[in-house]
Formats: sequence, structure tokens, C-alpha cells
Amino acid sequence: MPVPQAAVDGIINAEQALYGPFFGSLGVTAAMAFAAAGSAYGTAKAGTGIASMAVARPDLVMKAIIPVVMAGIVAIYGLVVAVIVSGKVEPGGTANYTINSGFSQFAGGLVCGICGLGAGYAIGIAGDAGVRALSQQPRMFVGMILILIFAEVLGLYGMIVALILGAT
Amino acid sequence: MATTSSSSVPPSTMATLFPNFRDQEVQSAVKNLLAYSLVILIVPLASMFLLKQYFFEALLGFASNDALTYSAIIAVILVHVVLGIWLLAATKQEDRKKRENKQD
Repeated sequence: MPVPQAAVDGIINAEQALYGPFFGSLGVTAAMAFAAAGSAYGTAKAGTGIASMAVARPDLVMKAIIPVVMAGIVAIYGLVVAVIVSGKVEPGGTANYTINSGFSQFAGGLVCGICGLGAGYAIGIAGDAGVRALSQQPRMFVGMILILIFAEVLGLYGMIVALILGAT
Repeated sequence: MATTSSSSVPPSTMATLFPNFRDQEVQSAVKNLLAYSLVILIVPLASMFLLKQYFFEALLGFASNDALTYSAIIAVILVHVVLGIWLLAATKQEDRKKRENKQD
């Protein structure tokens, strides 16, 4: 039994909905905003620790600032995904940009943003404790770096998944 | 320099806040820090947009979207390279300090 042409047209029209770019733009926003929020929390939390330990050991500042740098890198993940996804958002209502693309970009933005939020949160808490320990025992440096790398890799996983989602 | 040499002048606000700010070690650490901070801020953004425009699009002729993706991946790798150099510099500084302390 053949499918009526009207039903096929209806499905095609529904796939090319005008609101498709809304979700793509939301993905851009989510990637940047959540990643920046996590990065901001990490910077602030690690910054209080650095401020209180650097009063006694200002010569260690080069080592102690590393949690802040790593929190900044999490924001770069968000920025990269936001720039890439925003380059792919197009006007809706055409065959080039279906709602499938919009949903995929929304998912990509969310996954990168929330992974970045978690990674920034972890970097902040671990970095705060790490730099306070660093001023007492400089050998703690390697341990702190390892903890921070494992926290930051969580954000990297989110960015990889977002790039895969955004590329389709 | 003039304020630190004469003892009668009261210490500046900077000196009271950071008693060892004039210390050679602290100053080199702060200088290092400024240089590395600038590098790690500029390298990813510059590499991402410059690579896209002048390498992937102009030289290799990629489409705009593909060029952006590849240059983003390279930018993220470059950030980690700079971070690695930062870690190396931080550990080297500590080693040098230890050696100087041993010689004293």
C-alpha cells in the first residue's frame, strides 16, 4: 500500500521546521555558559587558596597558579565547541538544516558545557586543597598536578563527544 | 631602589603588603608568571583563527566548517603543549633553587 504523498510532505515539512536553529543556538549558549560557569568557580575557589598560601610563599606562585590555568583551559573547551557549533547553525526551513541537526547541536553543547561545569568544580576544590598543601610540603606538587589532570580530562571527554555530535 | 637603600624613609605600601616583593627570586617568579600567562591566553585563540584562515582555508582549501574543526583540535593540543612547558618551567625553577641552597 503506497504512502500518501500528503503524509510524506508533512513529515518532510516537520523535519525542516523553522525552529531548528533555536536548538542549535541553545547548544552554543549551553556550551559556553556552563563551561564558563565551571571555569569561574574553579578559578575563584583555587584563587582563594592561592591568596592565602602566597602570603607565606610568594616564590611558589608559578606552581600554585596551575589550577587557575587548568580552569581556564576548561573554558577554552567551551569556547571551541561554541565557535564550531555556531559556524554550523543555519536558517531553518531548508533541507540543509533539519531539526535533527538542531537537536544534535543542542546535545553537543549541553554535553560539553556540563562536563566543563563538573571539571571546573573538581579543579577548584582539588586545587584549593592542593595549593594549601603545596606551601607546607613542596613534594605535593606532582600529586596535585596528577589530580588536576584527571579532573581536567573529564572536560576533554565532554569536548570530544560534543565535536562528534556537532560534526554529524 | 632609592626607597630601599635609605633606612629613614618609611616602607611603601607595596613593601608592607609584600615584604619580600623585592626579593630576586620572587621577582623572577612574577616575571615568568606574567610571560607564561600571556602566552597561554594568546596561543589557543590566535592559533585557532589564524590556522583556520591562513593554513586550512588558504593553503589546503578546506571548507569553512572542516577548517574550523581541525584548527580547534590543533588549538586544544597547543594549549596542552604550553601547559606542559609551564609545568617543566615550574619544576626546573624549584630544582635550581635547591641547587643554589646546597651551594650556600
